[in-house]
Amino acid sequence: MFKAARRPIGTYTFLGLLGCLALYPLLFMVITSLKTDTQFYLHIGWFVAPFHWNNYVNAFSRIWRYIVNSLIVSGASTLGVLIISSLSAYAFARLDFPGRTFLYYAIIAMMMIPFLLTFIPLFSIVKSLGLLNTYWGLVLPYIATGQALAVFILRTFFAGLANDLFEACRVEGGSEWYAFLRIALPLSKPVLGTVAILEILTTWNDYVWPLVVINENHLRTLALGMVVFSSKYSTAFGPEMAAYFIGTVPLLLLLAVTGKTFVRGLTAGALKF
Amino acid sequence: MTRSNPLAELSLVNVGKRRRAIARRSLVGYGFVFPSLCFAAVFLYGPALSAVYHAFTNWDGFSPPQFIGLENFRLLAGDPVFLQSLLNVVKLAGWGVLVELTVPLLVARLIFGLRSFVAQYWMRMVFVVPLVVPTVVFVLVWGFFYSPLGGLIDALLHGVGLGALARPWLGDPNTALYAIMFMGFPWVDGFGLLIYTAGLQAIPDEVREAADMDGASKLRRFFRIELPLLSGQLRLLLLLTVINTLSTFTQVLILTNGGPGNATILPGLVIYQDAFLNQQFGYASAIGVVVFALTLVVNVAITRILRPVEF
Repeated sequence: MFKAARRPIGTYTFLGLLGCLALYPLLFMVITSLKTDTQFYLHIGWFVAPFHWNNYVNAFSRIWRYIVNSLIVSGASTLGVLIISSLSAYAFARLDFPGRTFLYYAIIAMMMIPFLLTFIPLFSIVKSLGLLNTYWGLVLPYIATGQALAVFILRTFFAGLANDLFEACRVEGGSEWYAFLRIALPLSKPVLGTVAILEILTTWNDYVWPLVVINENHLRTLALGMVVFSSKYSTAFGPEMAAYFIGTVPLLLLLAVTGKTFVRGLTAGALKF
Repeated sequence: MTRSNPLAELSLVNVGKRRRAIARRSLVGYGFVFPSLCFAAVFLYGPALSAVYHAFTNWDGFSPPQFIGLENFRLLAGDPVFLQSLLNVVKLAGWGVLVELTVPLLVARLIFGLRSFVAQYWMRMVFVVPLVVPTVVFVLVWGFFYSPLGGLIDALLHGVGLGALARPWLGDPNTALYAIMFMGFPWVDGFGLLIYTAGLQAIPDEVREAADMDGASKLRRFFRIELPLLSGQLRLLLLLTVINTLSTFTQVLILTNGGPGNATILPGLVIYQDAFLNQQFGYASAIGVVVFALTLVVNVAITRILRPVEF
């Protein structure tokens, strides 16, 4: 393995090969998305001309609604997590009140509760609140579970901010609310970005919870929609793969635009332990 | 006129003021944490306690639950489907750990050894990009590869003259679970790669230089010096892999529904089926409690037994 380091060509070849294999499923989607079914059987797994771009139009017309739903659900959950966890993280880091430590650990400890434990009772609570087949039925539980790690990350950050700024604000007679909005939040834009990416990734990918909460087609999120698409049009491979690729594009774009913040959001899950 | 002690007076006034100020600030504090606590109580602690309670009941999700003590757990101990799901999840977790602790580490180390930082960045990116493919799409595309109708794997086998081996990989009880394990080949998990890379970057250059001066071979340096210093990362990925595997069942829910027979059944899927197909909410809650207990045990075992190496 380390002989290769002296002859980097070997290392590059090996890594390149692995890279191609790792990216192949993505490439396979693109390849297949441009074919008719006859073309598909003609040459499985590689490009065949002519390319049928129309498959994309076809797929998009059927899944755009799911994309909109996912954008709403992920957007609202992320906003919710950012609001409630920055508020409480600020209090845990910078305010003094009886029970502060206990309450902080109560929030953090939620990371130890697996979804499989709360799954069934959560469903019956959401049902009794009349939230089945609503965006709220997804968004509210997502906010509740997402906040644990968010509070942990944000509290650590707020606690590390220089005290002088807040003292100065207090001396000037500024309220805690003012200090939070005008000092703490503007200083924490990067870490808020990390938390947002983390929340977007988890909610965008979730399949099981939307499956039990949402039955109506026009409310389905993208993950649900794509599975439905695959079973309904299972013989139209081109549009099916086009749909999968379209479903991947939003996160690809997010990665391209946010770069390092995205990678930090990805690895923030590791902070749990 | 006797001089009153202005300091004492002042401090008395201050105590009152201070107390009020403290009370007010406490109130502000509670105000800030209130929304968080509400969400936690209604959507997490409430359901968690409810699950523990309902694990001891017979409950169909509609009518009032009846308390039946440990009956659910007694039934679980003899339930072949549940036991099969445990066996399967142990196999999946074992395989997952084996892969996660080797492949991404090897790739991380190889990339880290590249001279050019630009090359390092782009090679890492190649393995990070698959992480943005939605889980569902990843699962569906692999289902496509395994398909007996135009599946890529069978096509490859035919292409190299091994057509006799072609089969419906997910439909054959002898291969279904292995097919689930094989998904994601070549298993260069981008998340693990990033974690190992962070670990490798944290090792001070002096440590490596000292090893080089002592004339240690690169292989020896890796196993004797770098690997022990990565024990924190190894432990983290071990923990995450085991815990994630215990509670994930999206892939089997979409591809096999636990079948054929119970060849690919997993605990999460048993919960899902018992609750939503058989209306056995109490029984499903009991399985949830068992999975929770297992998670805790694994967590404690891994954090206690595998302490990180201090240096």
